[in-house]
Amino acid sequence: MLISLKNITVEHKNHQILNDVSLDIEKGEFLTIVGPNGAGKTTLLKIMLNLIKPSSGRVERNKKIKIGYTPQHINHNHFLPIDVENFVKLNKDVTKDKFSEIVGETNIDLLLGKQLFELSGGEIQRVLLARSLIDSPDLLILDEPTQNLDLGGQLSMYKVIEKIHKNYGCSVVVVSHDLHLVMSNTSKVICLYHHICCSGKPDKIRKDPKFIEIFGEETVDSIAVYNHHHNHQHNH
Amino acid sequence: MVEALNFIEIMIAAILIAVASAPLGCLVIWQRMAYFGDSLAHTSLLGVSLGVVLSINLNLSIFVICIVFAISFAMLKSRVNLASDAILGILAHASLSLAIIILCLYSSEEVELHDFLFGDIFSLSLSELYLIIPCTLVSLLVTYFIWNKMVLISINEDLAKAENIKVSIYNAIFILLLTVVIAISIRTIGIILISSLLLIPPATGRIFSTSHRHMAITSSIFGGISALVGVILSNNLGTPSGPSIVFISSIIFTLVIFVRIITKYKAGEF
Repeated sequence: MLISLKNITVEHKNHQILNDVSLDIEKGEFLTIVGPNGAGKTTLLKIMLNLIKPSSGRVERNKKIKIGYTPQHINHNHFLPIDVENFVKLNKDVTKDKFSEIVGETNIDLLLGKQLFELSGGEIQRVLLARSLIDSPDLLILDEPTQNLDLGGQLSMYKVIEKIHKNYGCSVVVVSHDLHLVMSNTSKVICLYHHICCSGKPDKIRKDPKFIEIFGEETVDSIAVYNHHHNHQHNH
Repeated sequence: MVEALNFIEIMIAAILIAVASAPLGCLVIWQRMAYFGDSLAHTSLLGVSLGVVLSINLNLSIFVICIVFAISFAMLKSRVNLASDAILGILAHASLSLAIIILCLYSSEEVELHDFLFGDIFSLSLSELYLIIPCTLVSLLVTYFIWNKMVLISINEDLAKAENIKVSIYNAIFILLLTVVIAISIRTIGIILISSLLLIPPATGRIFSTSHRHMAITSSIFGGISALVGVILSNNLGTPSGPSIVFISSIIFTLVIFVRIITKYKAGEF
């Protein structure tokens, strides 16, 4: 076990953001956290990362664990000149071989000379992913890596994440509020709306009445359609 | 009798201050803290007035007041539901007005307020030079060691925290350096203009730079040249040193922008 959360509650100004959330992250696991906007997904990640302390509850963490993290946004500061290569290596020690391997995996070789503030949303996410891989993490925590991407961009981003999960054998926790691609790829899904509404394999969770209640029948139906389409593509 | 410095010693003091301020100024810009630098400088007048009234070392009293200011700001920010610039404005103007009141009520000798507002580098004493040299050198050295981490913090604080960087400690070191540099610059540049020395040379450096290190180095060079030319100007025309240095730095900024436009025009980019 890498991280174990026990009865986590987070309150902010008398407002409950997380209520009695317990979950374990196992070695090699691929976990997706879905939920509507404002459900507390980013807060849950920040608890895992030890960026904020819970109001009550316990966080147990494997002492030697190395975590790679990609935040939702970074500061688009035009006054701060830094190119992608220097950003990925900033404050890190990395060998040439390892660096070019990661550049290949995350598909950022054409971006290396570009300034950080010139990148599009999808490019920034790939660059952040590359940086998070430098220290060979045991656990990757990705906050909405497919936000603002078109369908093609989302697909290729998930392919990159899946490939990394397979090749590096690290656990992955991905947050998304967007259900379409998530459901066919992950080993375990948690549906969060301040508390854990339901969790399990995508096939099981899709039929869960609580899940349908939160996302609406239409959305859930459209996932099923998309998933079918996705499988269809793979069979050829 | 205070021993006056010779021209070379004055030049060294001015250049060291400008060179040490420049990389800190880059960080100030990146962290969007320009108003913080301004407020810190204004607050330092309270240090001046307390130092004069209590007859203690001015650098020490300025330094202590600036530290109190930084701590009060951090405490208010986490407890009061107000934007940072509003809190800074309240703190800075409260201390500025208190400083003037204290000077009016309790100061027996006439204080040359003008010298503190706009700087008078020619009245520096040898003991002040001996304070400026180690302070600026240590500041440059510490800035060098915290540089990469501060750049990462400027890009994304959560990312830095997740990579086990003690963000609050590095931010505190940065504020401390800023406080030291402002405290020792007041006699040279003056309270009103010290934040321009943190702003204009880095803004000039930015125009050329494609990397954060490059920007820090070029802004130090521009700051140093501004100090050198500004002190010569001040010496020849008898103008106050702060405005002379800052004016030269803004001339350099304008020239650089101009050269940039012309080269772009020649390269057919317009």
